[in-house]
Amino acid sequence: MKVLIVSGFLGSGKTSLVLRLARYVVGNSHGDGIQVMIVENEIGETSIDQSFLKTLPLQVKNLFAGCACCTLADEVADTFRQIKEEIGPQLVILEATGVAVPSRIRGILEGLGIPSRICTVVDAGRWERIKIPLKNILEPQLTETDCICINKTDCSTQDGLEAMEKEITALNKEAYLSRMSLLGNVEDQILDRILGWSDGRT
Amino acid sequence: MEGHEGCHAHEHGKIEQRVRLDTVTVREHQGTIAGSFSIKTAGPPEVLEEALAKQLKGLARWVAEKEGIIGHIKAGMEIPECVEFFSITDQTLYKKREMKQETVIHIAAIVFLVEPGELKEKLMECMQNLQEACRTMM
Repeated sequence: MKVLIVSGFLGSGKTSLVLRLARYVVGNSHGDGIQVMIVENEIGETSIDQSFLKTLPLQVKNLFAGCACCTLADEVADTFRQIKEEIGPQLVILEATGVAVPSRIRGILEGLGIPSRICTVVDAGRWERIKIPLKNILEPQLTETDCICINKTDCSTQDGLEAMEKEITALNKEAYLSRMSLLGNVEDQILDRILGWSDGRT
Repeated sequence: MEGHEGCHAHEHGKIEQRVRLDTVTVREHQGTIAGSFSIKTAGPPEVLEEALAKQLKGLARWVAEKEGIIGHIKAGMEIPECVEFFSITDQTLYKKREMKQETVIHIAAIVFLVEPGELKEKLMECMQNLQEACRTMM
């Protein structure tokens, strides 16, 4: 069992990416027979996405009222131990809260012997507005990740995107960086890289 | 497991979503203020949608006026099954819709740089406005 942790600030498009990836894995030839499960984490007591996700033909497990990287760390460990032993899907996509530090979740999973990969989604439309006041949340999400998806490219300009890429690359030179608008089509090649299918890391 | 600074002060979370009707809950997590409520109401979904949109826009405006930052403001409507009746006795067709159950509306707001108590008050106001709007449409 491998885990893809989808991180990123609130409203960046994490749920859209999770759904896109889950459908891609299930529907793609690469993914023949691959069982995918989604674990959803919400900081508040109510999840709006959960109401939507439960209507889809995917296995979804929920962690509410806390953050998977800290207050719910014990529950995360219990949940993943249970998923591994009782369900055993090949891939679990964990959607972290918008304020989670994904490397901490990776640490919890490492303790269980479960390999993981991190993908961080960033909102191009709001980058300028939030990059300074919410630096303490955004930086750990960007520095400790395997790939970074700049989403909502349609909400920015070419110059804006280039400046944003420069700032993000200054924080993390190693991560695979891609641009996308999850409202439209996303190339299979990009989804493969997010899943780690093309570099053998997942 | 090392937690976020301040996490020890909070109630640890639960695995399953707890839907408490007509109650506004607000929790703070390292500067993140998360508030939510759920209500159950009758009424045609399209009218509820209009009332809901008005409250969401008002909430977003309020956060901007407070110079806060919206993490996200989301709402969901769980629309139950309904049965539509059609009848004709002369030349006019009549249609009647009966909802089998009430619609559940959930609102969740995650914001920054806003006082938790003020968000709670604002969400209570939104909830009351929605309940009032629902009452008048019945």
